[in-house]
Amino acid sequence: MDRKITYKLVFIGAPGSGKSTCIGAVSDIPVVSTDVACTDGLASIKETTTVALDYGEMSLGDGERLLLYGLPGQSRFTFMFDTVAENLAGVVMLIDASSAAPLEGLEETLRTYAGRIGETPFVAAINKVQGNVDALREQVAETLRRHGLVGPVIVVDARRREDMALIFDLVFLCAEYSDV
Amino acid sequence: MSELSVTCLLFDEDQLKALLSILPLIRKYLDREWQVDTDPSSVSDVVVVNLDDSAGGPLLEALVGKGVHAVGCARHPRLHVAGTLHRPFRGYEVLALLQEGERRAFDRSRSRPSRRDLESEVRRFALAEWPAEFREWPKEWWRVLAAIRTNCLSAVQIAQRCDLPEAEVMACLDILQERKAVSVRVDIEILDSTKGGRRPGFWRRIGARVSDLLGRL
Repeated sequence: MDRKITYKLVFIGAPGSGKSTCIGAVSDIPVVSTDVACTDGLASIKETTTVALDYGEMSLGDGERLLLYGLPGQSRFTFMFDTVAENLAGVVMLIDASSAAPLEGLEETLRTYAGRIGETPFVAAINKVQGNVDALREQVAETLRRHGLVGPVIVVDARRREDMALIFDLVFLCAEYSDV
Repeated sequence: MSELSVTCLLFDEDQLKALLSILPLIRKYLDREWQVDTDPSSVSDVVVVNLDDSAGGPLLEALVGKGVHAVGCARHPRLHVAGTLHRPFRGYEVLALLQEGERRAFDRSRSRPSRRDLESEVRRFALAEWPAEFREWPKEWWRVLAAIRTNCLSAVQIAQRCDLPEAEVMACLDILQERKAVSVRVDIEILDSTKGGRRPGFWRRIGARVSDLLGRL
């Protein structure tokens, strides 16, 4: 039987942080999404939001595939992390710089997942940046430190493949040279 | 005759000043000039280790194990092995130590490790903060950051893990120390840098393939 080898990368973040965009930027297949129309306060931010997960794939050749998952950061979706934990290469935490309270989503994600993220290579990526982001980057780094996490904090435009390449580069770098 | 030197490890500035003030007082009882060594890259004839620092015991043990003329120094020397000096320093003990150092003065042909060499094997580095400006640094240094992100490793271990020259690793660690982005502890525990089911090259291969697919940076 031709058994394909798969690795997984999880994008996690608050609604609107750019998970679907990240996956769409690199996926070989049309992104499988569970978007529905927003009916709450999010409706003012965007028309749809992900209620379960996004899914995309990258074929690495030789039967290997990188599976890309977008998970909501809220604690009520913790069970989804369990379903993708096996063969997990790393986690990308997305922070929406355009949000009125960009750190709130990160805080909730870390309250929910800090333990698991600490056991995995990770990158914190600040997306949707306008203007100077130095202060926010420092706040993100400080938030990570408070949760006992040390890792790269970068500024990205999730629509750009170069920025996605940097994210992947850092995740695999940490996977290669760290013990976790 | 050339000067001899005594290196003090894990002492604060005031204690070093105290030793410096003792040296002129005992000079006439010594055959050779002595200096207190503060240059980490130089070679020392006698090493004194502060045993009241929690890292002192293991460090002294490691030094003695390497054949270095090293002695401990502690507030309560009787709680330690015979020959441990009092802290603060006492003139007559320093004199005895340096006279013994003169007797044991190493043969010029014998290779003596520098303080940096000695410490490089017992000093462990852990990343306290991933530097914000890392993208401006050489990409080889990113490996160092990744290696000590979740591990506390010596420079030698980092060099092995990252497949980099130790000098390159030290250059990166020096910058990290300047920026207080790395924490340092002294430990003689031998850490197995291959533990944890690491598969060297595995993720690098996957990462390289992904980068190729996305177009190189």
